[in-house]
Amino acid sequence: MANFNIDSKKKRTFDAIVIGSGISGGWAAKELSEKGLKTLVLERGKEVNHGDYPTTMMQPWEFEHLGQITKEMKDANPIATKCYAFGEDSSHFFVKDAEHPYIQEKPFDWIRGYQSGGKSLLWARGTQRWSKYDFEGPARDGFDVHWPIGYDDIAPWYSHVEIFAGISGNKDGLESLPDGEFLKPHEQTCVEKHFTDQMRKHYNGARPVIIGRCAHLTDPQPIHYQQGRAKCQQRDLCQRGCPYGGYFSSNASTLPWAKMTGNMTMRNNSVVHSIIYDDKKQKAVGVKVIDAITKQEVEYFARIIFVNGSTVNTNIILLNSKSSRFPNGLSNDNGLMGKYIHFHNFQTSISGEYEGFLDKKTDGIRPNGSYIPRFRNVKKQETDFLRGYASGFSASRAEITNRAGWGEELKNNLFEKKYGNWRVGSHFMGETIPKITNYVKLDDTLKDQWGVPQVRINVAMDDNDAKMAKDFREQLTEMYTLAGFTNIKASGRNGWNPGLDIHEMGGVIMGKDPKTSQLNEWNQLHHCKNVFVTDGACMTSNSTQNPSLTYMALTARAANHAVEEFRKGNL
Amino acid sequence: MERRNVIKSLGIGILGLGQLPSWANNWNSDSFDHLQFENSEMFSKIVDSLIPETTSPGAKSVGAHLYVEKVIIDCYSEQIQNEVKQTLDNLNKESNAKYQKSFEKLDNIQAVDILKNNTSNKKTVDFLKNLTIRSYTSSEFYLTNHKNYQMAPAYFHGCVEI
Repeated sequence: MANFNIDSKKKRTFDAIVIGSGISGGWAAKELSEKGLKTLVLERGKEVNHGDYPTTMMQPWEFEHLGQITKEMKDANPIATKCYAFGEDSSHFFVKDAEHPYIQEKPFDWIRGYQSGGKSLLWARGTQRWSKYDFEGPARDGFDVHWPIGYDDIAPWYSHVEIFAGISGNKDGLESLPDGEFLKPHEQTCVEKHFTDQMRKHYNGARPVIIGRCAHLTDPQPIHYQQGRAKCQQRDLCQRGCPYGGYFSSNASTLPWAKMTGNMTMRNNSVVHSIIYDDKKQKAVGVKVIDAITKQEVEYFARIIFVNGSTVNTNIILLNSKSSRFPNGLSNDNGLMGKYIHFHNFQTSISGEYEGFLDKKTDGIRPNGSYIPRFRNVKKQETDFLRGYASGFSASRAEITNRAGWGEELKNNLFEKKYGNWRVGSHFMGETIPKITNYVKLDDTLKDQWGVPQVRINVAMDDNDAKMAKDFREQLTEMYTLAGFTNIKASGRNGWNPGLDIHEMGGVIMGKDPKTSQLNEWNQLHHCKNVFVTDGACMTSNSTQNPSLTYMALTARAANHAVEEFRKGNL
Repeated sequence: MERRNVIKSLGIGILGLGQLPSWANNWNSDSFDHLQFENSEMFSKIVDSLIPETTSPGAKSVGAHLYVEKVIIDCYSEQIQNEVKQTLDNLNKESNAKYQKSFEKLDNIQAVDILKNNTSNKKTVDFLKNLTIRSYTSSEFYLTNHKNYQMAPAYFHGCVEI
């Protein structure tokens, strides 16, 4: 029996454990296993191998509700169904509200995807580098916690992940949005080019408008074919999962790559309850897992642990990792773990029309749009609010369906070929200030079905967010007007709550000082150095870029540091 | 033009065999017994009169009547479902009063006459019309013959001549 136990423990012992297989966990798995570490990946959701995308080849007319969500689904999932990507073709990749309850001290739309690959199957694929101004922002503007790293620390790792993931973009030469290792860019539409030209003229280059940078294989390279991926077919059905691997997901890219090394073991349906800390060794030695289906408890052991559970879940796991040394959560000596939750503000948007280029249209499909990098307060403070915002910009022209008439007249009208004006629109993506008052914490009594405490979420917008949204409406109205657009409508988005950005960050943030932050410059917990956090939870601030590319780069950087330390015997 | 006609007649040929969308083939009355509309045969007449068969398939050929009924039952509130029931009853009453036969027995000209002149249920009639248009314009016939629909174009041109 004793031998059996030793054998069993041996089988459950690895060099490294990665908690979560989403966009950052996949990168940890790839880097660690590629460098020869026996790596266990724990994913709480179901198994979805690349290609397990049941709706991906379905034609529009094959959906019995033509894409619409049923009333039963909507009533049962008031939060999940708010997500723009939730539809008849993708609902199976979203966590249903009732399955995983949480407590909203203030309204928070927590969107989750529990399966191999996590939300990397569902993301919007925008991938922009941060600039030095973004990393320096918190110090310049007096935030509570400042970044322990700068652009130069992460730049080579941006290159590292861009080359492997495949990022399409144009080298625009902007200081505020550094160029990356780009595959060929998508094309702007006539009206997007017109807008770019007009803005260059009116603002002397201070408000560039560029083609979006996105994780699509527009021009696949040998490294992508080696992953088994092919050129993006421009279907724009990404939320279904892509059979070609045309966009980057853990499922299509990092997870199969990790598997090919022979060093990665993946275990699905593994809900991590907590990390096991050994007081004598003064480090983490493993994790406690509850099987999602059988509810049985099992422990796994490793010298390195990467926590990539997605922002809120990473906070839950660490806060729930209590020991005599750390009664308030792993490494949480300052009591600040779970605080400084931040997000991107999408609470406003603008639309308009353009009456020019009426002899032109677009052809084909583009899974991308144009992009307006942040132009507010980049190098110095200019406004009555702190920080700034980025915006999308797209202009397209659809055929009009003439619905007039009855019978044969209606039928003839439906077969008319007619185009309306060009339609233009921009969404707002505002930087929010990380605050101690925006937090997640564990409920004292309520638990989920796996015995993990339920989380209480208390995150709200503030006056700075409102001022910034107002500025967006004013500035974009001015820009649209200068470009000759008409019927301009700028408005707030009713019912939008933090969380619906799906860019929630923080709670286990990086910083120089263990008194005010949780992680050092290598994403190690200050007081438990063999535990690394490299998902959204680690973010000190959020700036105005889509965050995933930065999570990937931070993960690759931290994982390579972990391997070096492991080889030196320091972990 | 010739090519177009060939495609169109092919469309009729295929659809003429009763080739409904795959979801409609899987449909049986058990799948929604709790809420089936009593006078559900009226949906056939409504969609057929709104977008009739001509030299090309109409709404009924593409299964719009099945879609309309299913989407109302599965995706809309009880209130809207009741409004639809009420409207079907009213249309039937009008039909009996004006043509001395039930709505589904009308010819398409008569059915359109009842639909477009109905003022008391205008909102619901418009709703049914929109669902019918949605089903028709999402059909394989319409998308492939009229919209030049391609699931995977693999290209994008931002600025081409119309």
